Formats: sequence, structure tokens, C-alpha cells
Amino acid sequence: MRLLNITKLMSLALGLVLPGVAYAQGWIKYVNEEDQFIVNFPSEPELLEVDYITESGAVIPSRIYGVANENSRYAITVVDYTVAEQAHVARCRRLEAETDSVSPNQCGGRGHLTDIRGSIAFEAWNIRRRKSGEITYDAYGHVDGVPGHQIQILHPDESRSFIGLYMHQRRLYVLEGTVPGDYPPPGLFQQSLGMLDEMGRRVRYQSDAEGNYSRIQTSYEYVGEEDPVTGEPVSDSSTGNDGRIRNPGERTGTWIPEASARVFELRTYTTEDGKLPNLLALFRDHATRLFEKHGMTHVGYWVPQDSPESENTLIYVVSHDSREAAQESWGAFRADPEWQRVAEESQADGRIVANIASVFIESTDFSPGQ
Amino acid sequence: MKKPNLSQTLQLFLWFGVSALVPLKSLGHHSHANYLQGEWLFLEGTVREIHWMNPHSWIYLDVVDSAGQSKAWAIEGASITTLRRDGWTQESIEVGDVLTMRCHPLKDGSRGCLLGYITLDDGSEKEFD
Repeated sequence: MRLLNITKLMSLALGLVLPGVAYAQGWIKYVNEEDQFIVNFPSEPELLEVDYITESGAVIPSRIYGVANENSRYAITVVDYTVAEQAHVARCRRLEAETDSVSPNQCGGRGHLTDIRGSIAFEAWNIRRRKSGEITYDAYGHVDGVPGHQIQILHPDESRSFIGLYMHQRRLYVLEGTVPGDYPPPGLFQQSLGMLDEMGRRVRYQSDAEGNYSRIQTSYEYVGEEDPVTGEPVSDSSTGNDGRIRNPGERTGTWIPEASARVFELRTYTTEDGKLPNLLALFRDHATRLFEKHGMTHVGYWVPQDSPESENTLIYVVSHDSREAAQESWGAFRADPEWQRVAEESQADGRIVANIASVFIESTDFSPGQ
Repeated sequence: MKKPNLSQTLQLFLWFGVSALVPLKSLGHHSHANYLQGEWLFLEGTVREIHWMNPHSWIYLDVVDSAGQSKAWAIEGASITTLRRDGWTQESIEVGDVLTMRCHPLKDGSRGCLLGYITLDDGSEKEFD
């Protein structure tokens, strides 16, 4: 992780020196609705805001919530990729202002999406290249069905770090607990993370082999005050930090993994009389290949079976990474010299398309494909 | 649970039962991939701390190793909600109790273990997961 100075965080005078014989007494459930997580801390954490440089070089905000004492330290870093696209644009503008020639590889694509998708791998690499000790575990893990990664490190002084990395709703969560060698390993902290939805409710997912996710309920999704004896909610509802009332077990919404947070576009073309073969040839020979060139993904192309639509209609669906990406792709496609040439050639004997209808659509929560 | 005596607290019961017995419940809050779920570790030790919590409860157990050194272990259990449902209460285990248990050790060799079962006074085992 660049620009993050954990040592600085840990040097904060937190005044939380634990008695030598107590490893973790008095843990609390810490709920943060702004950054949409819940985690167990040994006490109320301090906050440090730090810039974070993504793999592509964009600068985005991160917030470190940490508790430290002379023996142990626990921190969760929330890297805010929700602003990655704006940060990527700002970076490119800065590069363009500072240099005569900016490589298309730096600014030509949608680098923010690469940053988001690669966020866990990038941060795991950052952790490995610290070379702060022997990595004793380095593998996939999940919390509440949110996929991530776990790294465990044995340091030369026998202290141990247990680390978890998870991405949810474009926020990267990095948990790191470090304890001395004579302490029990810090699994209590590492394994306590939970994610909240935009309404402050705890979320949990199940997924199939194809990576389709659906939200499910959990017995511990309540985020309000719990009875310390039973662990049950102290009332039928809870009031969050914002004063809103939430009911235990309430859940809404669906989570679309970042890697597949795409939109679909349904397009229907109606041709002039007798011109459907011309349109199909145009798509077969040129358009579909150019769609791919400019970042669109084919889903399917169809013609109706019944007349009269079977004689003048082409229906197809493509997908885009986002609505913004769709706008970029269509702009690049229309400006492509090859498309301009073949489109003009296709109309040498008159216009072939009479009407185009476009509808942007998204998957429902019961759709098998997301 | 048994109350401690000196001979018990200084004893270590550490056996591996490889690829044995019945698997634990698998639908947990988090991935258990960092535990050796095909192996059982038998531990006896004295409860240093116990944290009845969601999403997981934890027992910090002082276990004496073969060199006679007392080492602290982190033993992971189920949520307090699940434990209550299974009949455990906060009076069931207290600081200072001596526990015998069967759990899955961490893959990285550090002193962590996933419960598993705790042996009751009558010799029977009760799930703590």
C-alpha cells in the first residue's frame, strides 16, 4: 500500500495500553455506516485519512481505523474505489498537462475498472513486497460470501500479522492485526469483518460455480446493540448512527460483484423494405468486430421468426461495463474511420435502416445471469 | 467444566488425529480455508479469556507444551447466538476452567484452532461450532 504509513498510525498516542496478562479483554462491536462495515475492535478506533495510489497511479482516499498499544495493533483500512473513475480522469488530465505525449495505455482505456478489479491482488502484492517476515499463509478467503484473500506473516521478532482483504461495493477493506509472539494469533480481529449495505444492514451472499451472487439472511446480521449474555437484539429494532430505525432481519437490494457490474443494452433495428439482408451483412462483416474493438461485449443477435418483423427487424443485446462506458464505446465506434466508410458504402443504393430503438437494462435479482 | 489443579494445568494433551471423524458444520460466517479441516488437534488447557461474541466466540486457552512452557492459544467457536441455541451459556465456561477440546489447527502452524468439540465433565463431547 503506498502512501500509507502504518507506523505513523500506530504511533498515535492512543493511551490504550492493555494489562500484560490480558490479550483482548473488552472487545467491542464497531459499526461504521459511512464506510459500510462492522468489525470487532479492542476499543473505539482512531481515524487517519490517507491518500492511496492505485495500481494505475490514480490517487483516491483511504481511511484507516486503528487501535494500537505498545504490544498489539489492529487496523482496518477502507480504500474508497467509489471515486476511482473521477480520480483516473483527473490523473489523465494531469498527465496531459505535464507531458507532450501520453500513452494510450495510460489513459486510453477505462483504467479505473482495472484498478477496481485488481484491487485485492494489487494490495496483496504491496503486502508481500514489504518483506517484513515469513509469509505463512497466502490464499483465498471470504467473509459472508464476499470473496477476498488472507495473508498471515511471522515476523523476525516472533510477532504475527493476520491480514484479510475484501472488496465490496467498490470499497477495499484491508484488516491487519499484529500481536507479539506470546499472544494468541489475532484471528478474533481478522475474522470479525462484516459488510453493510447502503441502508446500514448487514449483508451476506451465496454464490454458484459461475460466480452469480444472491443475498441471503444470516442469524447475526443485526448491527444494533446486543444483549451481552444472549447475543440477541436488545429490542425489535435498532437505531443507527443516523437515527434511522432498522429492524433485525431486514434486507434489501442485491450485490453485483465489481467484476460483473455491467449494464446490458437491447437494440432493435427496423430496416427499409427489403434491406434486412444488407443490414445483416453489415453486422456480420464489420459492425460486430468493431463493437468488440471499442469495448462492447456481444450477448446475442436475433431476427424474429414471424412476419412482418421477420422481414425487417434485427434485435441484439450487447453489454457494457457501465452506462458511462457505453457512451464512450458508442462514441468511439461512430468515430471509427472503418465504420464511417462501410456505413457510407452500405447506403450507396439508399438508406437501409428506418429506425433504431435502444433500451438499457439490468439483471433482476432472480436472473440466472448477472 | 473442571476447575483447575496444578497437575492439570501443567499437562499438555496434544494429539493429531489425521483425516478423522465427522466434519464440522461448513456454513460459517467466513472461509475456514486457513484451518486444516481434515485434521483434529486435541488440546487441554486453562481458560485465560473467553469472548462471547458475534460473529464468533473465542476462547484464549493457556496450554503447556512439551517443553513445559505455557503458551496462549486462540480457539475459534460459533457465534454467541448459535452457541445459545445449542445450549451453551456464559456460565458454561468461565475464566480459570480447564478445558479439553478437539479442534482444527491453523495451517500456518500458529497457535490457533477451530472448534470442534469440548469435552464435558461426564466425558461426552459437545459441539462448540
